[in-house]
Order: sequence, then C-alpha cells, then structure tokens
Amino acid sequence: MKPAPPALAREVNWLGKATAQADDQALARVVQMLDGLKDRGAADQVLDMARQRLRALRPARPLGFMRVLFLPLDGAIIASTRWRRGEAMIPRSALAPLAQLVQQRLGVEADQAMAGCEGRTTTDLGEVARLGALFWPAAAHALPAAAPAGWEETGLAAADYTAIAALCRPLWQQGELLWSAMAAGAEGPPEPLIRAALQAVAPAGPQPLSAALAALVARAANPGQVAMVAAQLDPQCRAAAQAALDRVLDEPLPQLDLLDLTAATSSASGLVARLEDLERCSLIHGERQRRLAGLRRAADEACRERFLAGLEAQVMQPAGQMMAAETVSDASVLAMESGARQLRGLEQVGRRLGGGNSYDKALATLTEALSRLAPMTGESAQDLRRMDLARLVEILCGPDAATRMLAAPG
Amino acid sequence: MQPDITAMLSRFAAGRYRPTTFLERGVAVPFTTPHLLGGRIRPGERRIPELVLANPAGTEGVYILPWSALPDFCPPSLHDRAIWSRINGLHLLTPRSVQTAARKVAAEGFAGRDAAAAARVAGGSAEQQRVLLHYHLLLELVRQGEPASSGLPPPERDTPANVERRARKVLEGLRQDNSLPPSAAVDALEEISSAFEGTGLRGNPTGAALPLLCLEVATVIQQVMAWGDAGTPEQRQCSRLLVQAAEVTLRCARVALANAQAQLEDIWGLVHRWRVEPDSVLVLVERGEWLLDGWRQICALWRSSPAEGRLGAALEMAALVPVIPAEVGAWCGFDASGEMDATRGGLRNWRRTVKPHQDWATGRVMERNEHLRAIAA
Repeated sequence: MKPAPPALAREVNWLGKATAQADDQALARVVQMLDGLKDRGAADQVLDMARQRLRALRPARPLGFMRVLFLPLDGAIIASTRWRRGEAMIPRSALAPLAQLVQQRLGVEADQAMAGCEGRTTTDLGEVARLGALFWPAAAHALPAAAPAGWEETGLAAADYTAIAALCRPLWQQGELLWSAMAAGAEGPPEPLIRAALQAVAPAGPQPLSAALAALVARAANPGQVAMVAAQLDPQCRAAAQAALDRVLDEPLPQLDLLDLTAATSSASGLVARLEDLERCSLIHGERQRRLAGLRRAADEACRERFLAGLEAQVMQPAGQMMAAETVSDASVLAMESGARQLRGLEQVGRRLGGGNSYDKALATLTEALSRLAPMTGESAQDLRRMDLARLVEILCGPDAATRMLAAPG
Repeated sequence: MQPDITAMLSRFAAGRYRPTTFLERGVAVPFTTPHLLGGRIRPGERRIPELVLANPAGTEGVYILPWSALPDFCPPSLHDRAIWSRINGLHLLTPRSVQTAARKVAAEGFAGRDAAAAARVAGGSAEQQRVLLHYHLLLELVRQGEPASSGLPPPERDTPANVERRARKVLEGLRQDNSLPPSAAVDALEEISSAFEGTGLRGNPTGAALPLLCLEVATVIQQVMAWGDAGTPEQRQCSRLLVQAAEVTLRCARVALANAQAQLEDIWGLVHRWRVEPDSVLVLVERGEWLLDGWRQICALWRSSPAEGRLGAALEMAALVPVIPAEVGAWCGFDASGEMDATRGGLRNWRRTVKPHQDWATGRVMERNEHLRAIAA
C-alpha cells in the first residue's frame, strides 16, 4: 500500500490506538462519525486497530453501495498491512477503487442500489440480500480484465489486481447463495445453506473457495461444521477447509476486558459456542487440537478476569460508595442490580469454559464482603439497605445465600 | 444440576381440574420465581393451605401440593420465601388479603426498589380510595336521608365537616327506638368503605381498583386482538381465544360489580344489613375480586412485553387464564364456567410456562417477573 506522509501516519496510528482502547460507546460514536464521512481516505485505517472489537460489538453500519458490494466477502477482507500476495484474501485498500469501478460500470443499476440503501443498516440482513441480488452478479461481469487507471493509488501492483478480481468475481457471482449462508451464521449456518454456497463457488477453484470459506467461518456460530462440509465436498477442498480452520484458530480472542458486560457476555457466549463446535470437528487433531485447547484456556482466563473485574467495578465499588453516600437513589441501586445480572450471565457462560471453582471462590468472597457491610446499612429509603445487599447476593449466588445473609444477626 | 421439576411434581398431579367454587380455585399469588408463576393458594382439608400449580408442560391439569412443600421442589426467590411465610399465616384467604400481604412483602424491597415503590403507591392509593368512598357514602346518605325541603345546599357543594354533621343528623333522624345508634352507624360506614374500596360506586367516581382493572383488561384485549389480526393465522387464533377468555370474565365481572354497587343505593338499609349479616354483603362485594383475580398479572405480562416479544407474552398469558368456577353460573345468568372451559381447552395448544432445564438463575426471567410486580402492584 502506498505509504501515507509520516505526520499523517503518526496521527492515524495514534488515533487508531486511542480508538481501540476507547469504551464501547465512544467506539460506536467514532464508527458512526467515520461512516458519515463521504470520503474516508486514511480515516479508515483508524478503525483497523479496533476491527477485533468491532467484530465482537457488531455495531449497525449504514448500508452503502460499497458495503453491500463487499458484504459477501466480509471475513475475507483484511488490513492492507497484513495482506500477503498469493493469499486468498482481499486487502482493504482495494475496496474503494473496486467499488468505484463497479459503480461506474453499472451506472443506473448502481444508482438504484444506492437509493435502496438509504436509511438501512447492516442489521437489515434481508435488505442486504434483496439489494445485493440486484447487482452482485452484474458486478462480477463489470470488473475489467486489467487494472484500471489509478490502481497504483492502492499501493498494490497491477498484477495484484488480477488476483484480487479473480477472487471477487466468483464470490459476487454466487453472492446470493453465499450471503444466505452468512446471514444465517448465528444458526450455524444450517448445513444445506453452507453446502449450497460452497458447491456454487468450488468450480471457480481453490482460491475463491478459500475466500468463501473465510467469509463463511467469520460469521458462523459453528465454524467447525462449515469446514467439515467443505472438506466433504471434494478431497481437494480439504486443504482449504483446514486453512480456514487455521485462520479461526489464529484469530485473536475478543478483548473482553475492553467490552462492556453485555457485549462481553454476548461475545463470550459466541466464543464458547464456536469453541465447542471446533471441539466436535474431526478435522482438528494433533497440533491444531493443542492450539484449540490453548484457546479454550485463554478464553477461560479472559472470562474469569472480566468477571472479577466486573464484580469489583459493578458491585463492590458501587456498594462501598453507596455505603458512604448521604443519599442513595433507587436508580443507582437498580444499576448495581443490573450489573450483577449481567455478571451472572457472564459467569454462566464462563463456567462452560471451565474454572468453576474460581467462580465459586469469587462469589463466596463477594458474599462475605457484602455480609460484612450488611450490619452497617441504613433503614431509610435514602440508605443502602441490607435488603439491597441481600438482593445482590440473591442475583449472583442464589436465594439460599441471600436468605442466610438476611437472617444473620446485626 | 437442577432437579427435574416435572418429575417431582408428578406425585401431586390432580387430574382434571374443575373447581366449583372460587375458594377451591384458590387465590393468585404474585410469585416471581419462574416455576411458580401463576401459582395459587387455597385452603385444603382442615384449612391447611395448598399450592395449586399449573402443569409446567403447559398441558391441562394442575398439581396440588401442600403449601409447606413449596421450597422442596424449587428454590424460591427471596420475595417468594417471604410471601410464602406471610401468606401461610393468613387467617382468611381472599384475593384482597393475599394482595395486601404481597404488597407488604414487595414494599419491604424483596422484589427490588421499583416493585417496592409501586407497592407503596398502590397501598396509599387504596387507602385514598377508601377515604374518598367513605366521603361519597356520607354524601349519598345525606342525599337519601335529608328532606328535599331542608333548604340546605346540595351536600357535594358543602364543606366536608358540614357533610359529616348533616350525615349524623340523618342517621339520628332515621334511628328508631332500638335501632342503630348514629355512632355505630358511622363506624359501620367506615367498615363498609373498606369493604367496598375495590368495587367503588356506580360510575366509579372514587377511581376504585376493580372497575379500573376491567378497563385495563378491555384495553389490553383490544391490543391483543389488533396484534393477532395483523399476525399469522396461529397468532390470530391464539389472540381470539385470549380475547374470548377476557370477554367471558368481563361479562361476569360487570354483573358482579353492578350487583355489589347496587347495595350502595340504599345506604341505611346496607348499614343495617352490615350490622346483622355482613357476610351477605361481603359475598356480593368479593365476587368481582375473585373473578378478576389473576388478570392483573395477565395484563402486566402484555404491558411489559416489547413489540417483538408479543408472541411469548401471549403464550404465557394463555397459561395464566384462570378457570371460572361453576358457582358463577348461579348468579351471572349464563354458563360462564362452561364457556371458559371451552376457551381454555382451545388455549391449551398455546400455553407455555417455564421450559424444562431453563436456567432461571441467570435472572432475566426473574427480573421480568419482578417488573410485573411493579406494574401489577
């Protein structure tokens, strides 16, 4: 990719780091702001460092021609800095020129599609399917054989254009089938959808099949099943399936520590489902099995860390502050209870990864700590009351522990 | 691992459930534990209370188990433990006595601060309605007992102190040699105000709870019908059955409320009957409470459900629709019990209670049920 001027590169780098560390709301605002820009230019790189979190948060993004065009390839798109020649992936810097090219060549069709995008977001999966069906196949035919003028602006060689276009064409050609399976990712996707999509792309060769697999596994709740279906299609597809699994195993874990509790729980829940699916996948053995076990351990630790940090931030700290406060509002108690419920959800997910004893120990410690506070609570509606603490214990540890706390003297 | 509730409950299966009286049907208890939602309490043999639970599978029939056995088959929430022990000590089991006990539990914060605030407001509002009704009874007494030629302003334009004075004068005037002294009649009026607090007067000038609940049920079923009509054929069928069930209940409730309110048309006569045979008065007053018992929670389920959760709410509502006992047929003028039985039979296909192995401990269902306590305080 063509290097940016040093000052701009430094600024983009700094902004990217700050964005990656920002809280969920701030990150959502940055994304919204960048999505509102007509020409994002280098600003797009700001999000590169936060892609991992964006994958976990999946904020609703406004639909536009370029986004709909490349949604069936989502998952096969990587940061230009990580792109390697010969890899069945598409560098992000190629997206804008390719979209521009297709848009110019499609003319009226593209205009109609753009009008249809108005007010829609990436959460409108059916609308993406409807709009995509209007121009994905046409887009496949619209790409010229040779690199268009100005391609060098992407920082890529002219020969790279040929390889990238060769990946895009079959995926757009089969965009409808591919997107049907991707849109049903949360449900697996169901095997018939996976099979239909991969069978349609497979004749185009191993590279497009790899890209299709990358797109499918990125959204799949059951990536192992996707790989299994691919491996069963044809002996030649087995290698692509294993490569797809390698990418899944290489994927960094969601940064639970940077996500709020709701997003962390949802992300951890998705991760657990994916790991459990991978453990059922017969393509994973030997070294891959060891890597998978390592992932599970890391996920377990990340979950426990997030849980412990959450207990401190959502329960212990606010409870301590409310004990010291002159007045305690109903809203602040409700917020603390809501945090406790989210933690309970995270704990339920975390226990599926192991570490049950750690959760038991943490909850016992919490109960003890809250029980120590109980005798110092007040009686009026403006105080933090023993009942408020008992309810926290009930939410996190169950009604028996809460009953014991209420019955304790003091 | 959670025990299999259905297997444990099978020992208490009561087969076909056809209560002939309201008392046999039991009083709805606003539990928050998902497995207990829709549970009722009723006096069993030798007045030992029993818990009546709908079949968790959603099929016809109920489980009847000793009230004391409640904590043995599922871990009740803190709120439900408190309700369980408070209600156990009630001398009289009526919808009102259970509601009062449940409100006290909620007001202490067992179901959270929202439910506590709602319970306090509801308790205060009931007291306000009682005071207001008492005043209206005094006005009515003056209207009924003062001669038209008294030359005094209409009582509703007079000051409360004057109204009370005029009412006492009326009571003195109505007293015959051995009949009720005015002070006792005033006490009786206070008691009558308490008894009629829920039913109120015709036209509901005091904002009494039961006529308002009738309006609430009517509003909710309109929404349910609109939702069903705009949905799939299955949704339409489910919503129609829910609407039918509500309409049968409302028809009976309107008769019950009208009969109860009609007693207030002759205040002096009512005061006398109250002193001599209060049960004959109460039986008419309580019919409305019994009929509508459980519908507050059904409406709250609908009110608390987001647009995308309407189907789930309708399924839970279907599971909570109360039986109408046979005794209602004797006074409401049609076979309400039979009609409701037929409707409930149709609703069987849509009933959904707690799913097996559902982990209620994650708190989401509990949170929703506590929210119901805040809506239906």
